Formats: sequence, C-alpha cells, structure tokens
Amino acid sequence: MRITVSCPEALIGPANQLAMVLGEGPADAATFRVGSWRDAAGHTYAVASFEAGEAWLEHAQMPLRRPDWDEEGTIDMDRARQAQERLLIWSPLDNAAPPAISSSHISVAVTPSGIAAVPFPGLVIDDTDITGDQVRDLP
Amino acid sequence: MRIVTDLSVCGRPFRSGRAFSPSLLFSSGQRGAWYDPSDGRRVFTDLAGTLAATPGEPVARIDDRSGNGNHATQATVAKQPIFGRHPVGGIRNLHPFSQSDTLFSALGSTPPVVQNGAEHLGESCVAITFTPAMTPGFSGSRAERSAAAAVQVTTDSAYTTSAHISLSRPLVGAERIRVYFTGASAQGEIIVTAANSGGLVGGFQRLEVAKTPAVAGPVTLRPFIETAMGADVTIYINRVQFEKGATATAYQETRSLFDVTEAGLRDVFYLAFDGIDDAMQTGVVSWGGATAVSVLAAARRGSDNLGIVLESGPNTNSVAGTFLVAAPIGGDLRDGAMARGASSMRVGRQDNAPGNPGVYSFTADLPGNTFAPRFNGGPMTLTTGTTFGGGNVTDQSLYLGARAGSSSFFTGRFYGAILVGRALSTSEVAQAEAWLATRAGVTP
Repeated sequence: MRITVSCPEALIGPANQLAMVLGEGPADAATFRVGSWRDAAGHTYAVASFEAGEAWLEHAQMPLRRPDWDEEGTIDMDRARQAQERLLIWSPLDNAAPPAISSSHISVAVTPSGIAAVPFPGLVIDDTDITGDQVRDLP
Repeated sequence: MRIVTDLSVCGRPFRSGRAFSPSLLFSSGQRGAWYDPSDGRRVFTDLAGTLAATPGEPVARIDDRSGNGNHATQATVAKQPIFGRHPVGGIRNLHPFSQSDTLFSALGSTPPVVQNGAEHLGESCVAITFTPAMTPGFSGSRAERSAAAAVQVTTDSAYTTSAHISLSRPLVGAERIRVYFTGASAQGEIIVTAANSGGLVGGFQRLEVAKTPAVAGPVTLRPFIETAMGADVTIYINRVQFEKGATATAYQETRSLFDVTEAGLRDVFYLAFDGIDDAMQTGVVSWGGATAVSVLAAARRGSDNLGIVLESGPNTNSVAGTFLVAAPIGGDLRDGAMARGASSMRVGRQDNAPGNPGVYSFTADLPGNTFAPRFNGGPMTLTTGTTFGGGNVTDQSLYLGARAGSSSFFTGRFYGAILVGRALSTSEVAQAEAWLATRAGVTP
C-alpha cells in the first residue's frame, strides 16, 4: 500500500523525528523539508509518499521505541511522540470521504499500492512550468 | 488516485541495433553516465552499493555503467524510487498480490477458517473453509484481503475479475459462494453454485466475470457464503487477476504492483518515481569542457504533472551549459527536452500521453547551435530558441526524477539513460535509441 503524509510546516521537526523511528536511519530526518504545498487557507505543508507494508501502519500507532540503529540517541523520542499524537490516519476502504487536511495535524493517507497522485483534495504544490516559457499550444 | 494500465506500446519501429552496447560509446574514456535498471547488479537498497535491490524494494543507489563513477543516490527512504519489473508490453493485472496468500483474514460474525499459504493439488493457494454453523452473508462469514491488496477502480471501463478456484466438494441445492472485489463498488462477482461447482472438485478452473464499476474507489477481494452450507466446504483460490477490459487475458503474476511477470514474456526493469518526493542525484559530473552532449532516456510518464526525468544542474532555465528531459515539460502537457548554452536555451516538445513509454533523445552542440531532440526515433517539434549562444557543458550534479531534488517531481517509470559528452553521430543515436527501446519494452 502507499502511504502519503501531509505535514504542516510547524510540525516538520517532530515529524522527521518520527520518520526516523519508523524508517531505517538518520537520513530519514530529511523526509519532510520546507513545505512547498499549500491549502486553500494558505497554510504550507511538506508531503512525503512511499510504499509500505502493513507493519508500518501498526508501528505508527503503537508505543514508540528507539530503533536499534540509534545507539547514540540521535532521535528525540519526545518530539517523535509529539508527532505521533498528531497523526490523523485515513483509508478510502474505511471512509469514502476524502482525508482531512489540518494545519495542526499530520494527515496520513493509506491508499492502494502504486504510483499515486496526492490524495489530499485542496492541497496544491508551488510549482512552475519547467521551461519557464508557458507555452500552451496543444494542437 | 489514478492507476493507468499500459497495454499500449509505441508504434514507431526502431531498427535493430545488433551487437550494439552503450559501453561502445564510452570505450575511449568519454565523459558522461549510463544508468541501466535492467542490470540488477547496479541497483542497490543501500548507499554503499552492497545490497542488490529486488523488485518492489526502494532504491538508494543506481550505479553508472559508463565507468565515470557518476552513481546516483538517495539516502532518505521515503524519497527513494521503487525498483520494478514488468513483462514487455506492460502490466494488466492490477491486483498487487496475485499469488501471495498471506493477506487474507477471517471476518464477520462467524468468521470462516482461513489458511493462507495452503497447498491444494500441488498448487499454493488460500484455503477458506465454511461450516454449516456459519452465518451466511457478507457480514456473517467472509475472508478478506487487507487494504494492502486493494485496487483502485474508475468508472470509465469494465474490469474483469478472474481467479483459479477449486472446491473440496460440489455445492448442492441453494448453496452459493461469492468471490468478488468490493469496497467502493461491488465488482466482478464470481458466483459458485451447484450448477458450476462440479468441475471445481479435483482441479482448479479459471472463472471470470466482467463489470463496469458504478463508483470509483478502492476495492479488495472478499469471498463469502451467500447461503448456509449444508456441510463443511473448502474453497481454494489462487492466480487472482483483476484487469481493465471485458475479458480475462493471460495471467500475470504479481508479487506487488512493482513486481509483475508473465510466462513467456521477457522482463523489463525500471525505477518508479512517485511524483511527490522521489528523487536521486549524483555528485558533480565532470564533462571536461565538452561543447556538445548527447542524452538519451527511456521513460513512461504516469500522470500529467510536470516532471523532470533527468536534469543537469539545479535549473536549466537559469544555469548555463545544462540540459533536461521532462515528461511532461510544460503547461501544454507535452513531453520534451531542453538545453541551455552560454546565453540562451532551446526546447523541443512532443505530444504524448500518460502510459505511453518512449525513448527521448537529443544532441546539443552549443557552439554549432545544433539541437536535435527526438522521441521514439522521430523529431520533436522545436518550440523555443534558435541559438545557444555558444558555451560548453558545465559540471553539475545530475538529478533524476525531480528538479534539484525538490520540485517538478516525475511521476512514472525510468527505464534507463545514456549521457555522453560529445555529439553522437546519427547512426550512434539510432543504435542507442534502439538499445534503450528494448530496455523500455518499446517495440524495437
């Protein structure tokens, strides 16, 4: 299944601590970077998306424990738990309504496996035309 | 979410590049890079390049086969593309675990007995046993694939459900077992009754049903008893296929949507970029002051979101001596290629649609103002610029799947790329295109 996470900019720090707990190493502290997505109210978010097994979802909802690789205490477990408390988990199999976006919560969408569009309605990325010349000359 | 099947193949034929290998383009120490997901020895799950990736796993590193050491990496797991393979011709079976039998659970007020990974008549399968004590109906006694095995359906097409089914005994009287995908929409109900169950004892038979979904959304496989069973009965299920179209086609085995094989067809390998945050990058690529570059990439875009397949440097719009391939490249939703010289850029565009794989190529000679972008062997339309203003190819990091690793994320499959620090000849381009076309599963 595919996990897509929208993280309000204010929670990027704690969310990256949680990403390390649920991930594989210190490099996962870069999972969420400065938010380039915006909701209709102008709040900014960072979005991450990845394939995962069901174990990921279970671990995300269980009491957190420091992973074995973190012998030096790199992870701030308190901040990771702070992020965990802000998780809103949504799956279309359980709820036909689209997932909620909240500027005070980390929204987790669980969708069928595959290459996916961002499943959060109303969330748009700040992106520009790659060529910069804005050609719109479809035949 | 949108899932696009890729039954299509490119119609423009390539000439066979007999005995050609891209290694010939680098045999004299030419600068550049060569990425080839089909060479499984060069795709790794770790940055050090010690753990070879298998299909379905995230990729931390893909090695440069050119000998220049321009390996591309991504340390953050969530940003790593997925290593994938599919049969030449594409993926039809949308069910992500057609043969794996570890994902059924027993649900309902009187759950059935579910044995995942069972063996019946020499075949691996799931075995679901219903007894007379179990309550009939979806809420009474059913087995269910988890959310991890869900499939997204749309309402614009019929879908065909097919599965190989066997029974421990024939059904009698009004006994009925339903095997179907359901969730957002009840989909493709395979009904086993007294009338059709006789042939299912002592062997597996493929049953199929087609139906157009009434509602778009995820569905998952949920067999259940529609009526009470008069005696214990076990239904054995394997080789589940769920595909677009009104008839079942040849079975494709799926271990995940990124690991699909089909008997008799060769495998095609790729890196799947999710269009949201996946990206890889190299260290600084040295071009040795080259004034020309030839670039070829094989890819299949999966959406209309603007996406960088590969780019030299952080932004070709502003950095001299850089280039890119993008799919699509602009607001017109065409794919394209672009290169910048000392002072200005040139752009080529190509009509294409999501799900249509192809080989993009171009040669850019900066002092000569020559720019020849191509798609599947034919010329792209030149839309912007007439001169590069001279210059040379500048030493930059190469990015795969995104602009500078942080925007314009490519959605789709990357089958490989060849970048050479000189202008290839017409015949070299044709040979390299044909070689990449084979890698991408485009008809050579």
